[in-house]
Amino acid sequence: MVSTKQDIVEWVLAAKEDPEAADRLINQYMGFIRAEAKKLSFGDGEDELSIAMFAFYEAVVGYERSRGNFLKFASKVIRSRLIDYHRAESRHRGHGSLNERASQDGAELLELLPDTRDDIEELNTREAAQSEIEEYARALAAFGITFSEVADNCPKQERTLAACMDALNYARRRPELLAAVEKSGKLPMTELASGAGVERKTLERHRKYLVAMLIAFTNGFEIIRGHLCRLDGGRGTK
Amino acid sequence: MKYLILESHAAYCIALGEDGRCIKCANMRYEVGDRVEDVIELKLPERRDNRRIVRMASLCAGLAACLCIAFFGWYQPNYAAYGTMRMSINPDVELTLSRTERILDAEGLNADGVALLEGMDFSGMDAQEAADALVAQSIAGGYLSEGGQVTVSVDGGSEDWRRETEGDTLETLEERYGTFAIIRTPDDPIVTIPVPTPSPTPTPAPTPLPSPVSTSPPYTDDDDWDDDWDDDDDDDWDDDDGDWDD
Repeated sequence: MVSTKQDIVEWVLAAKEDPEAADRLINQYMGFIRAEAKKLSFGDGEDELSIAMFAFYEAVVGYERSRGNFLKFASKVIRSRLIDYHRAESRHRGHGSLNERASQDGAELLELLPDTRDDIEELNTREAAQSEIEEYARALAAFGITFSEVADNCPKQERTLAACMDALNYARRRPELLAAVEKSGKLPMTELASGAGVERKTLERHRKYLVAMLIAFTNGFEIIRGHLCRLDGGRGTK
Repeated sequence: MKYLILESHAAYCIALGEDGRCIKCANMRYEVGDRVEDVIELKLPERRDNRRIVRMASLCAGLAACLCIAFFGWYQPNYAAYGTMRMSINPDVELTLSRTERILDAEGLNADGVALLEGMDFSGMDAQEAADALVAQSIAGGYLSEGGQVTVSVDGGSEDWRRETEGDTLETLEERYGTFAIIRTPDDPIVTIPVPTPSPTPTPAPTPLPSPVSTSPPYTDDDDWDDDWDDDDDDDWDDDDGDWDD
């Protein structure tokens, strides 16, 4: 089937809202992404391909009809992302790479270094984390929340994030409040706003994010809870 | 800052930071459950259209500001008509002035004025220089003789400007031609130079003639006549002679 410019725009607009549609679109345009990545790739180009795919996704999320032809726009976004990436990488020039050839037989430096990691322990930790994350995803799905929505709903500005953190820190020390959220998936807005001294409107605007964070503090999510060690922003809990 | 990968897609991952931030980042072959550092965070492309509009708007605003400065600071004071100065000698001339008293136009208001302006060039002159030149040309052309009058009046502009321009011009003309002609404004009273004329020889006052002495006795109305000089009927003079108004 031959796709028209109109089709692409429709698919892109659909992909903006739907993560699965975005994945499908990226798979469909892998040839285009690979070609764009190759223009500014060095070595095997695997990192550049990952960056190009991510930039294509950024182009999808940031696209509007007023920007004109999508593929031209995506090409520009990919190019500027790759330039940024190479600029950041250039800061590490002069440092040795673990993937450098260290001997004449072609062995990499990484292979020659003594292995201090416990791979089995790491694997177990990762599997435990994966299992907990799956459970966490299911708990959120019960309230119609996805990780993608949590990321989109997360405050971008520092001040708003700090306000949300105040609300979270207030709530996590009140088991009855956490239990209520776990049960209903609803935030006790009035109590949170007055207790944490945060504007109700701010809490309402980031409701999905706050629910997801509070559910992480209910029983059963020790790994995630342990990961959130800097939730109070280093200020110490109130 | 470490991030826990919560979800992995072909192009991106969803990662949870230790500070509670949940972000989308580039998938550098991460797997769910990985704890990673130095992630490449999602950054929406800048709206170039807006930047271009803002840039164009600032450019236009700057250009407009320059034009305003040029217009109000240079063009208007020098090249926009602000007031007029009228000089009445016998030739009647009206000069159009800018705020800085530059001569923008000269117009003859009568035939002599038109004739006087022929061949005159006021470019680069201010009001005082132009007035001086006009008076000089009037004298040379025979329009203004000794004792004549030059009337200067300024109109338009602000009251201060009008007063200042008129005062300066009168002062300049007074210095140059004050002994030759009368420099005045329309509000000044008309000055006429008295011309000495020979005084007539005094005539002797007529002596009153002696009135004749009356010899008749004074009239006394002591008769029985009626005193209306007519007929006998005391009415209107017209009924006894038969030839006036029959």
